[in-house]
Amino acid sequence: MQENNTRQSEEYNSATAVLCSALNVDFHGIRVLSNIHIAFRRNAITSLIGEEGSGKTTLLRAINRSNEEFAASDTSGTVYFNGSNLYAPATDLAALRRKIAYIFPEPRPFPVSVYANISWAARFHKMSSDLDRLVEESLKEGGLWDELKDKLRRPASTLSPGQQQRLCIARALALKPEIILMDEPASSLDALSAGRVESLIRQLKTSYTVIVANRSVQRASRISDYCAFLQDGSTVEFGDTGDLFLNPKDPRTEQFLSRSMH
Amino acid sequence: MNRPAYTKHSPWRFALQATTLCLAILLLLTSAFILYRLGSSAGRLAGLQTGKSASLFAQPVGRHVLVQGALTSLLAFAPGILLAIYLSSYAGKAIKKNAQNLLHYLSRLPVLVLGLPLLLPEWAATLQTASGSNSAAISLGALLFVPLLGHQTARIIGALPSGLGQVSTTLGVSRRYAITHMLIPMAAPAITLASLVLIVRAAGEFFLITALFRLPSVVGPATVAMPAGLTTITILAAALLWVTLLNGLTELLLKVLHHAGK
Repeated sequence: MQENNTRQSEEYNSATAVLCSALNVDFHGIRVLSNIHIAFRRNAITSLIGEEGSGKTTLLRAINRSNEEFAASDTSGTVYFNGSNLYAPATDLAALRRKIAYIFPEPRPFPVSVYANISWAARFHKMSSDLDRLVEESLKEGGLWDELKDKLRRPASTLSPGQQQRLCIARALALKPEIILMDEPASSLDALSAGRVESLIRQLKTSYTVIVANRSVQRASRISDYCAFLQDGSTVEFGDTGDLFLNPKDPRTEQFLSRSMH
Repeated sequence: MNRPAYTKHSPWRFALQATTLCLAILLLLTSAFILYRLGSSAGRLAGLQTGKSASLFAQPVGRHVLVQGALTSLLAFAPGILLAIYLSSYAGKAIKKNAQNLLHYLSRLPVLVLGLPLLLPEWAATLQTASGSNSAAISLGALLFVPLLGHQTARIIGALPSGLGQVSTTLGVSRRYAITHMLIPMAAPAITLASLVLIVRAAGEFFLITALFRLPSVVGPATVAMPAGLTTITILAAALLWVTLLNGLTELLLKVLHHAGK
């Protein structure tokens, strides 16, 4: 136990945003994530790659504790964020989810106006007394201000899917998170919209830590600084994206990459 | 590429909803007018037959029945909505399934609202002789109206995109805030329309039962002389048509909402 704690304290330093250690997640008694140990770097983009069902989404959701909201799950192990274990009983889930935002694979704007989409959760968290400014800043960060500054009262449902997805990202940014979890954020978009979302993700890493689940290894190689390859709920390999793609250490990684790239 | 259903922005959808709303209002007004006229003429007939002016049809029945229906629904509104919120957001899966099935079958009984209990001699006698018979009838009606309103509202809430709850969770918003600031405002127009239809349906069923079984009035003093012959047949036919139309309209409305929510 002491050895484990020492190892964690060595790995958890100022460059680490989130540290998952011996993380296991079971759904209805079936193990979906097994002994995950990854230190996600601050202000970097980390991609989770792997086959469908490898545990990418479950790992993302374990980091902001939304697994337990969506299904009967049992989590063991630790996830360190800002020096404390997120799975400690006293964790304030509302504050945690404000700090660790989650973006769904498909755009899910609320069927209200653009303005209300951004300000709705911000009102709950009492983020700012000047909501107009908050909306403007968030839309600027989301790369939507120029497109939508005259359409703030327009229903979000009238936007294109790409704009809707960027609006969802802007909605999360309005809560001033530290980490943004993205679950295949461009998978339901056309190539042009996906490209815009990719460039937005690259811009975001200057201010935020971004963890992205990617089914597309090409996209992962384009946008990420670090990559983790998951298979059957376990981490096979984790490291610098260039190293992992060019010199994979594990033969399973090599097989997966060669299958996915061709 | 699949766009979420709630992003579909079709003028046809709005046209259909607007037409349904107009039809409901038109039906309500027409029915009220017909009942008022029937009530007046039948009242004169009843008055001539019995020499008493305080019988059921000596009063403008349509207005009384509708006012009573409105009061009943007002009384039932809060518990009905709370029941719907409990069933849609808080109840466990087993409770939700069983309660909704039960309410579904109960709501299919055409004489449920206000009807069946009035057939019991004890109830009829109580309502007839009680000094506050109006209050008693309204309370009884509300009691019967709660499950119906709750069931319809739960179906309306169920027809809203289910992903919205998940989005609220990942934004760290409390369930209560999500219900009061998103779910209910979004469902409010449909709940209002459904309530309107239910009020008219309740009034229609009350009227049908009263006319069919020649029960004493619970809306006014207890002496009754039911109109005979052609008037009764006309009233029965109107009530039957009314109930059928409004039941159909309710179903149509719910199907449209359900389709829109998919």
